[in-house]
Amino acid sequence: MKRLYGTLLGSVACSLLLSACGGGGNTPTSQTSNAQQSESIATDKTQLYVGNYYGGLGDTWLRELKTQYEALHNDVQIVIDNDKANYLPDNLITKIGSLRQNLFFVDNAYYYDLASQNKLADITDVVTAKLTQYNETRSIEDKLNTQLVNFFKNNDVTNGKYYALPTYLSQYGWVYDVDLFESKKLFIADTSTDSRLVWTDGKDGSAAKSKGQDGVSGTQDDGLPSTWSDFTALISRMKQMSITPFIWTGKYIDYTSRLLRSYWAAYEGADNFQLNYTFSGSETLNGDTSATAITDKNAYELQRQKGKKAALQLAKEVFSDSYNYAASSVMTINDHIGAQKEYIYSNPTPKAQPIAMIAEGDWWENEARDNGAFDTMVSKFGSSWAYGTRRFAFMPVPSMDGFPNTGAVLSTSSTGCFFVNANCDAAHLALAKDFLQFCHTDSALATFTVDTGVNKPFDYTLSEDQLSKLTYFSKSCYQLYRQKTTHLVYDLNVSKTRINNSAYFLSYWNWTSNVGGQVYDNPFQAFANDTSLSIDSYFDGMYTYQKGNWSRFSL
Amino acid sequence: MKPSIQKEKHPISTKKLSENLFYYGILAIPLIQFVLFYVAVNFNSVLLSFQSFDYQTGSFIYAGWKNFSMVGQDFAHNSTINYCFYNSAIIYISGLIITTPLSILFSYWLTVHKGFFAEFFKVMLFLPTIIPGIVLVMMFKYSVEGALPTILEDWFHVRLRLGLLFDTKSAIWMIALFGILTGFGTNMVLYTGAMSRVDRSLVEAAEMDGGGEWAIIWHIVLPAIYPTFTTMMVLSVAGYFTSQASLFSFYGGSASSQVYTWGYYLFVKVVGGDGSMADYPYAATYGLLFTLVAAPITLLLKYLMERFGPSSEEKEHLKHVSLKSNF
Repeated sequence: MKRLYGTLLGSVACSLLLSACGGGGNTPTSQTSNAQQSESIATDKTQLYVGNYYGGLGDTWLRELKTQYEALHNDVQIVIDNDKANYLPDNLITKIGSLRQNLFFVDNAYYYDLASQNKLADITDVVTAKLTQYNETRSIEDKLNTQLVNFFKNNDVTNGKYYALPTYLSQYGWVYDVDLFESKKLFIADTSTDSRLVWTDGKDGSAAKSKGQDGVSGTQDDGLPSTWSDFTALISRMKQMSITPFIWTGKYIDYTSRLLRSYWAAYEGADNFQLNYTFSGSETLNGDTSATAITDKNAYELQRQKGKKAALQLAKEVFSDSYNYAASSVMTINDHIGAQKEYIYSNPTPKAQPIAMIAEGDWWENEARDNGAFDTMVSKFGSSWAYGTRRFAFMPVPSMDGFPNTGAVLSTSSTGCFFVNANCDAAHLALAKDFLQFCHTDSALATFTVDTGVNKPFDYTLSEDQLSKLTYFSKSCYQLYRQKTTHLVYDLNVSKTRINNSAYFLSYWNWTSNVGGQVYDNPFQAFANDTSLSIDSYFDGMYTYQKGNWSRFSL
Repeated sequence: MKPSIQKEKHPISTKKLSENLFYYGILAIPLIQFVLFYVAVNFNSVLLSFQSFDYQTGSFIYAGWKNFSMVGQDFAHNSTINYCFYNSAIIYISGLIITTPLSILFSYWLTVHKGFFAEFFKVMLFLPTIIPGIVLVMMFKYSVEGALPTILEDWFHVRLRLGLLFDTKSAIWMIALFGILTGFGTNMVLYTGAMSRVDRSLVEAAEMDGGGEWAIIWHIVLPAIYPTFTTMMVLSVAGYFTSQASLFSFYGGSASSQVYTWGYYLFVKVVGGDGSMADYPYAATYGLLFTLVAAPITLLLKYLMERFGPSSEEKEHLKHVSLKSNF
């Protein structure tokens, strides 16, 4: 009997040990699309394995590109490995060398870490070559802006070579419910004056909408607040009509941090805002009369950027009244999905107070759709509440006294990468590069945008037919990024100090403030917790914090 | 002439050989694991403290005392560090003065009292140990930020302006409360095991002499479980420096600095989208420094507890003690 027990015990112990050795990265462990689960390997073709971070963007766009590419190359089968956990930065950097995937499309990656350790294949040749085989006259590089070229190629780490390409473009902002604005007459009419605002739904027969910030009728900012006083007047009107102005996720409070950065970028302007990533240049800072030269040694002076102080006004305003925001926004139980659902359900659910704006990024509609938020509305209220039928758009950043909206739009998704695994053999390397090139043709870029509603940070256009397939929100984003007045800026580390201390700068650079010994990381949370805290105190505290810590870098 | 005594060499029997193979084979697995995943990892961590990541070569290079200098600067100037000291102390002390005594009391009650309720409470108190931590966190969050505010508003007309975990004034206390509520399981397994070895005749003798429950706990139970208690106290010292207090489960990577503990501060330095390999040496330096601090404290605590705890004579005396009850 004892021998039997001993044998059983030993078997259990060994099996536990073996199970601990399992769990390699080749088998998708998280979400998989139905198409992937049913795909079988064609033994008469060469397989190209593509690792796709299965997040808000899904894989529909990739499957369409797969179909198109396989139609052109009969001897190739593209196998899409959807996953999430295995493609997170920490897992990828340790496992990539042993993964079967030849190509990756991920949401976030330590690009410089991967490139410096030779884990990524050099793709310079395919990025710089003209796409003549696809009847195009430009190369992939020709479609990138200078900031992206510098980050991905012209830097001390990659030394003039490409090892990855950016994946998508997204800003954070207040997404407003266009349908709600119409039904409740929340648009500003063009008959408004400085002293009296007139509200309209903008429909035929009603007062026309105001021209908006750009001063041109018929554009997407018509009827929306141009100035800060208009914006606060809008908030007041909403509350009078029992509409909750704002909601955001209380669990991931950094959504609000990124929202504020959008305001900061808009007020600061693209060139000055980029100083925060280059630590090289000059600017006349708050309280100064002449420009200060910025280097790595004194970059903490950038905490005195005037646009940053102006952006704090938003956080202060939101928390000036507890009725300005949904109660769930100040609770950690509400994650981003919960906030999206609450926002979408609020209009027209009876007894629910409609919510006008949510702090979100470009992908939010896809995410909400994939989590069934719109389907629930359709089942209760009909098809007019379906995804693609409801209308949403980004609220433009209103100008303040001395701070016009410069048109700078901050993309916070720049760390998403598309790259080739350096462990490919020669045949798969050539194939992976070819597919990567294919994915960056104008047609493929358009396919991505039509399927996801999200834009890629490349220069390309959609046809009228393709535009008609976008939702109202996606179309508004597409048009916003292509406006002549829009200046895209990316949150990409260029300064060596930032690259070598990325955790510090991502966590503490943007909004951390030391106010009398109290450390605040997020203005929203700060003004929520201490309603007596002033903008000046918070702003001065950011300078105090960074100046005090700067000696840690030994520059 | 006496014949020389030669030791007879007995050949190792097959049975003995197979026993030895089994024994050393089983022992080899944890030893190899220990060497690879503890010794090697920590040795590498010590080396990392003196290195920095060079993006030109993609490797770690010697950096002298640079990381230590950075840590020193942080201690001197970084206000976030103050919260690590303070919050880690809150978590540690709450475990020390609330969880531990209550665990001992609960364990005593469960050991003394048998029956359905005792078994039921044993299971309930141990349940948090086997339920996944993220599930416990969700349950707790919905209780304190969902149920509790609703009860307060509907029954007592008290409206909380902010969620208790969102409000930085209350958040760390809620985290400490969570730690207390979920911290009984492991402690109780060890204490009930130790208490089950207490000589029942001592307890009966004490009861016959008029000793109350408290007297029994103080004079009999605690001395008897003192070695286990000492082990738990000694092991908990390292927890001050390493405990995350489940902050990552509560907040992900975006907890407010005002709730940081040492464990969480270092964890988010290297995990998630914010960190990179360049931050590994910095975190490794903290690990080395904490070891240099925690090791002597741990040894000192062990010495003091053994020095001033019940002596072996006292333990022997317990077998013959006759109590006069003051209760």
